[in-house]
Amino acid sequence: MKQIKHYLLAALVAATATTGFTSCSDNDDEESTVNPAVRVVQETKAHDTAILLCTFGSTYNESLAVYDDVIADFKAKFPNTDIYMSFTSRTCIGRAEASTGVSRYKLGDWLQAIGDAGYTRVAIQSLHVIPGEEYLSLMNTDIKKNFMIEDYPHINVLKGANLLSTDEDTEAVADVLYNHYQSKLADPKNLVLLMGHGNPDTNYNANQKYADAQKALQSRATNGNIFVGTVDYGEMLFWPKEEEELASNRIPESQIGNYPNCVYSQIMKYCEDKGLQPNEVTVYLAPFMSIAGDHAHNDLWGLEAMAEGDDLSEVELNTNEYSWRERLEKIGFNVDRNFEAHPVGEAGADHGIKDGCGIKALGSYPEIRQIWVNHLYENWNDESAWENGEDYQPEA
Amino acid sequence: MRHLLSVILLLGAQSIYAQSILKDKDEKDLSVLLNEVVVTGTGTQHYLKDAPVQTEVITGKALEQYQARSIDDLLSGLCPSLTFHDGDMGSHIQLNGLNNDYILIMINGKRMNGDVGGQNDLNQLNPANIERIEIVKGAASSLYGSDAIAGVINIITKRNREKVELTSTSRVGEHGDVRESASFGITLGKLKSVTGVNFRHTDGWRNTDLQWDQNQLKSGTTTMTVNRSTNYTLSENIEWQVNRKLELNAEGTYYERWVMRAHGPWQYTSNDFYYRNYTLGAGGKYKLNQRNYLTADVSYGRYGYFYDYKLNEYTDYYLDNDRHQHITYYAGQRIKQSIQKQVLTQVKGVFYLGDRHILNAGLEYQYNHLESPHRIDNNRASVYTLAAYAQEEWTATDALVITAGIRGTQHKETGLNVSPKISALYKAGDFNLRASYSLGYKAPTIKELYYSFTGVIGGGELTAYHGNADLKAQTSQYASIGAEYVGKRFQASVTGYINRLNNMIELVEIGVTPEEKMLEIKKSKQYTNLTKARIYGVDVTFSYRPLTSLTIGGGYSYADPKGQYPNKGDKYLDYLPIDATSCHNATLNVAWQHAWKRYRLGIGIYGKYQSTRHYIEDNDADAFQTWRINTAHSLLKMKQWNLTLNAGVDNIFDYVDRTPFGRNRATTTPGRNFYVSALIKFKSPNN
Repeated sequence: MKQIKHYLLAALVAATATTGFTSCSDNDDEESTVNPAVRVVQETKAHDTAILLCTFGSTYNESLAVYDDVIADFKAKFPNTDIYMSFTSRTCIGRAEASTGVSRYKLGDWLQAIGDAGYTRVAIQSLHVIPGEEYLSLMNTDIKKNFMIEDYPHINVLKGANLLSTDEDTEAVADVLYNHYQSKLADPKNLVLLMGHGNPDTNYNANQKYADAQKALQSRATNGNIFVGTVDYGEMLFWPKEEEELASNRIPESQIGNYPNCVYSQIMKYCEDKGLQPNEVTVYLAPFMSIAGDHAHNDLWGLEAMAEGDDLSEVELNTNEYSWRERLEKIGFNVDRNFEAHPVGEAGADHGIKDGCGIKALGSYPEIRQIWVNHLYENWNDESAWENGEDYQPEA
Repeated sequence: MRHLLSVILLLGAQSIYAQSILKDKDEKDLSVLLNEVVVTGTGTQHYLKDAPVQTEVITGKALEQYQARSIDDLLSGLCPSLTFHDGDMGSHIQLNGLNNDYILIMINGKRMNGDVGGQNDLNQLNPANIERIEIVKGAASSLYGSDAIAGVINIITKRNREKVELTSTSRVGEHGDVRESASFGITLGKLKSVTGVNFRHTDGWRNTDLQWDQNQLKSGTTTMTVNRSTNYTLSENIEWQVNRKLELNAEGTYYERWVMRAHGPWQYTSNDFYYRNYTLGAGGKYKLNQRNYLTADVSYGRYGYFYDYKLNEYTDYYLDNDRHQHITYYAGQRIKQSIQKQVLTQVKGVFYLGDRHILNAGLEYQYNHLESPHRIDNNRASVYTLAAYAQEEWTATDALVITAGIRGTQHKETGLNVSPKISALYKAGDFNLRASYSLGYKAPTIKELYYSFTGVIGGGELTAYHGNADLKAQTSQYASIGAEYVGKRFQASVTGYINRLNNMIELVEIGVTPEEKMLEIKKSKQYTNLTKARIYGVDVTFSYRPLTSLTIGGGYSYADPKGQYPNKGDKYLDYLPIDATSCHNATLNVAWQHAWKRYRLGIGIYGKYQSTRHYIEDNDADAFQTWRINTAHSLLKMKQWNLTLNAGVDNIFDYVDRTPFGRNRATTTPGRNFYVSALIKFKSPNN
């Protein structure tokens, strides 16, 4: 009898112990370096020339639709090519794939897969607006150094410039936008504000492109009532950026005179020059970016606050935590919430569907998309423009 | 043997019929809280009413009667000072306004291993295995070191006192809620064993169809208010009374948990969660002459946290920093997020010096190791602390007990910290007056010291996050004063306290280095000792028993927790409400029971109130109250068996917070829901 008890206890302990303590492997997997782009390239490859369109990416369905338009434009112009698109942002890649099934992998993955797939020519087209840090890093580091020189010196590469590459590009974009806003701009009591991205690093002079664009637009709009600011470049922000994100470093209103290029200073000067009070002025907002994604919805329009019936009393001018729209309204401007805006009244009904959003980005204009297409096409048939890394190889 | 077999049968089949008939335990079941013995405050046993350090107790009986869905449900329903709010990773506990970072959660006096995002995983606990839960607020005891700034929650597990003892609760509720918690104890000569099995599953639920996404309020979300999850815990504890002086014990636990998440609109999370923990421990107690004794313990815990991928995730990581070896996590893979290992060793002696002095002294060594791929330099780091403490309980007069202690902790990075504490109990008739003053201490976590992560968190810019090996420990000063009335039918206590925290650790933006600029990093943040916080509060508890069959009890906790926020506008020096805290929290319970010849009916009504929960960013969460009723139907006159069927309604008035996802919610309760449970107890006492 007593023995049986012992056996039972032993069995119980053993059972607990074996399930518990002997299975110490975590049963987890090694991190995989399998390149997801390989499969897509293998399935797609039908030509000897590939075009890779490069952009930051977005998670917004309405932006993804603009990318589809861009791809369609390139397909139309370059029929005998396979076209791929890369996103820089891993978050955007994941969400775009989960919500739409499209594969927009990282640049490095595409380049490796394209290089290994047997393409003889690869065209790289930037979808950037200005030749800033991201653009230069793409063309110099990823394409020239990594892809052409180190990895695939035998493949011929053609590089297509960003949107505002030459002065003619700037003039062409200004024409398109001016035509679009012409009727609004005719009235000095209307203001059009465009939000560019901007390059926070001032070592690049790419930000000058925004000033150039503003100049070109103002030369067309005789009232001078159109401005280009940025969301990420210190001098041309709505309000100049504090040194670090500490409230104690914020630039007070009393010192704003030292920053004549910020959006606030420019529009206030405009009002002063025209003898207008902000409440007499109607403001139209739009992004000066390839697509209308998070910056357009959030930093420009403050859509979420609008949808919740925002409380302007909390809005502070001297922090870029608040959107342009909220700060403009705080100053007293009338922001036209209906013109090419996100239909906030239907925010609940607009489930991020492709066509729900009225915000127009640069990529929404077919003529502007064509500028990118032309940048690639202008050298397409010039054999000498296609380069490879053979000349950079150390002598054997 | 016959008993044993039936027990095993019951364990397997969970059948609810039982024929044995036995004794009436009416009076015993109404046992008053005051006879509970507590240990947490002093490390020595005291009746609750005589405890020199103010202690709150949730009894095993209360746990049984409450028939909670989960441990969170149970703790927040029975203790007004404890609240839970939901975060990305699950529910987050708060004690008097401070979060899990500042709460030391222990099992039998040993620090619980494993946290996710700073939250101890309470799902590991088996309610059937819990003897009682003791809560000591503030850094009031020298026995406990780092983290005990808000207080200590000490979960005391069951020890077997019978020849054979079984407790099993099987609970089934709406939303696919199933819980089976069982504990089986057996005594075989000098061996005592307690085996625990706990299983819990919920299908989860969704309280709203709406979610904020991309600055828009969208319907049709797949996000769940409470995720579908399954977990189980197995445990085994063996005690061996070697001889009259020496007692040895060994224990082990094994735990797994799976949490399913939404992979569709508007969340598109790529992974589910998987957790796995095991612990092993051994110890002994050696009785010296008279009542003096020594104890020694060693334990090891290993807590693993994994992602189970359901969608592909495209990372910014490269194997061996080789740009040709880009890492992608593929659907179907299980990828390690962190492994936390903890080794605890403690040696303690309790010495009765004359009739009026008890000296409690000990040494403690704690080693923590964290493996966290891509988040720490070289993927792993460790810290150790070595602590020594001495505490004296001095019964100065029959009415006055003074407890004074000191604790010194040597930490690998922060060096030596010395925290003195003093508390006093003065007994005046039916009144107890208590006061305490203590310094508290919280060592920086491994992550705060050695974090090294570059990535985008929450859709912002590419940011480099840095640990800081030069961090100082966070410190606190805690003072409390309380009065307690202990009458026969009525007991009540009021305690006021102040808790001040210094050198609180925050992530602060620092300059981007040239090397980081090359990597296109836009921001750089580092953990820094920066801010302060202070909490003023009052806790009130009462228990009233107007009739033998009726008990009314409850508590009210007022706290005004405020801290500084480095990134909060012009107000960065101001004291603002600590995130997710509410000022007023209360619980009320009314228990009535009546026994007939062979049947006892118990009815319990439980209410919980929580005031508006304040958030620095975004919306405040609404104030709410929920009520539940539990009816317990016990068969009496059964000799060794105790069978109780419970049926109840949780959230009687159907309060549901339907705030869209992406905003702060008051509570995750699914609304009115019904449950039934069977509580089976079997005891074969030692003769």
